[in-house]
Amino acid sequence: MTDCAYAEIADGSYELFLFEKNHPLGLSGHFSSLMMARPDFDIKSVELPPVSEHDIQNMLRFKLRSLYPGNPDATVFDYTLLSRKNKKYAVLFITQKKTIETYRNLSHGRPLFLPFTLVKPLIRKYSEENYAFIFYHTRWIELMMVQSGMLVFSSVINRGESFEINFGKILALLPEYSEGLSLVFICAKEDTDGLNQAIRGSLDPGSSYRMVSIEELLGNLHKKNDFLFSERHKKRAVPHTLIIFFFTAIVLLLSVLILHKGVQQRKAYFEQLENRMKSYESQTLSMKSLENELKELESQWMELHSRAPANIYHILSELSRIIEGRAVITYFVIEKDSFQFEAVGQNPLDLMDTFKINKNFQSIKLLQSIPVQGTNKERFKVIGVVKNQ
Amino acid sequence: MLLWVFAVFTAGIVFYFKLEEMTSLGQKTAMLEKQVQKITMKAPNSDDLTGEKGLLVERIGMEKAKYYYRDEIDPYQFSTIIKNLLSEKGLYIKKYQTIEVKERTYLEYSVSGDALELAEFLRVVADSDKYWSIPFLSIDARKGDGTIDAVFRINYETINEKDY
Repeated sequence: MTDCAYAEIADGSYELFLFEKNHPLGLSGHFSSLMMARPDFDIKSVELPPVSEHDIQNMLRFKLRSLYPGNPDATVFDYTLLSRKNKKYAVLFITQKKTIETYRNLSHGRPLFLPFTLVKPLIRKYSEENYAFIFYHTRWIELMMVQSGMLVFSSVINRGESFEINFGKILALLPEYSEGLSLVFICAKEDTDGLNQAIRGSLDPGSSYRMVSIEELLGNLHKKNDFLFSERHKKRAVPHTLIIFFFTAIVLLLSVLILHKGVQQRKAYFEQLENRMKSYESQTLSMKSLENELKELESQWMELHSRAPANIYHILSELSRIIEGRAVITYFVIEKDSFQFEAVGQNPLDLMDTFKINKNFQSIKLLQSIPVQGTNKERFKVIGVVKNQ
Repeated sequence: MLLWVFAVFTAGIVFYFKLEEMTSLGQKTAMLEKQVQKITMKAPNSDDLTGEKGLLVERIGMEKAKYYYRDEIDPYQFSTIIKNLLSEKGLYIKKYQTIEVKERTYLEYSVSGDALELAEFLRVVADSDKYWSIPFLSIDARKGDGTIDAVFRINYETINEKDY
């Protein structure tokens, strides 16, 4: 990220420079992100109680009143989190509202950062020791003292011409227990050699220190996602109540959808049943009409059949079957279904019994019987009716 | 927040109405299921009815075939048939005439001959393809010589084609 820029105050107004060779940046100059001037900010480190990330913002806003003397309405802050062995710290970057608005105007929406943004990966890297990071910039120097991975304090001084004076000021800022501190100097690549010589001249022989170039740290900047005062950064936490509302609404919506689906399925089944019922009804109607047709045909057949004439041959055959061997018919007359016959034979009364049980005849009466002289026979007359078949 | 309350309230109302609809549909479906079951059990077998109808149509056709249609035959043609049949069976026709009884014309025959020949004639009349009716018959065998004298009235049965 060599096209990063930084802002400096000159004659009461801001000027932008590229980190690369401290090249001044015109109004139309391109840069990817902007490092704000450290003297515009106050940096505080606050240990956090175990609260949710959403509540951190509110808690810090409340705590700010005791940390920063400025008018709360004109003050803005952002923070980044550091954690170490179950403890959580927030590093607060505090400034005036108008200052941030100026930076936002200068950056035209591009990401903003501070030296701490560049140093934070180093803090994680050297978390086992106590360090003093000294950020040498063109017009100011920031001292960041880190103890066991936690920022103890951060301070800034104006950079003077003499290294010894600058270094002396820095040492004066360090607390008494800082003798065992490891020093890490961060400066532009072009300043490395000069600074190295000056440091060696000022430090005791055998003292160790590290040098890290700003360009190297800027190279890692693209991996970070910890830019400051960005909208995205502020809106990172979704309120819990919103989540609960959202999930409740989702559950309710899903329930309604499932119920709706169930209703649709039941509707489809009901329509299927209705169609089946209609088809059965039309089938039943056609069955009814078929049954009526059958009844009509049956009555037609019965009418035709009832008109069939009596079978005289059958009547005579039946009569002769009854009488055969008992008598001889001498006269027979039938008109429609009434008949009469005259016969000669033995015991006509027995014959009457036989007629009675015959299903073809009814109302059989013996009208007259006259014994035939000189024989054991009788001449008799019988009348009767043929049963309607 | 207001929007959320409105959304939840709306969803709740929709849920309630859907639940009502579901319950009502459940009741309707159960009722319809019962009706379908009942109608299925009661429904007659269409194959049986169709078969029965075919049988009846066939029977009616056969029965109708035994009747003459109005213009199919007249009393003179019928008289010729009977006369020929009597002669064929060996019966002697003594007299025949037409008589009107209740607007119907009958042929009345007086015949003599063997009793068996008369019986054979009556059998042919009974077995004829068409319905021939004998509403009156008298047989006299009192002569005692094995022959009979018989008088009978005969006619044919007709149907009106339009009626059937």
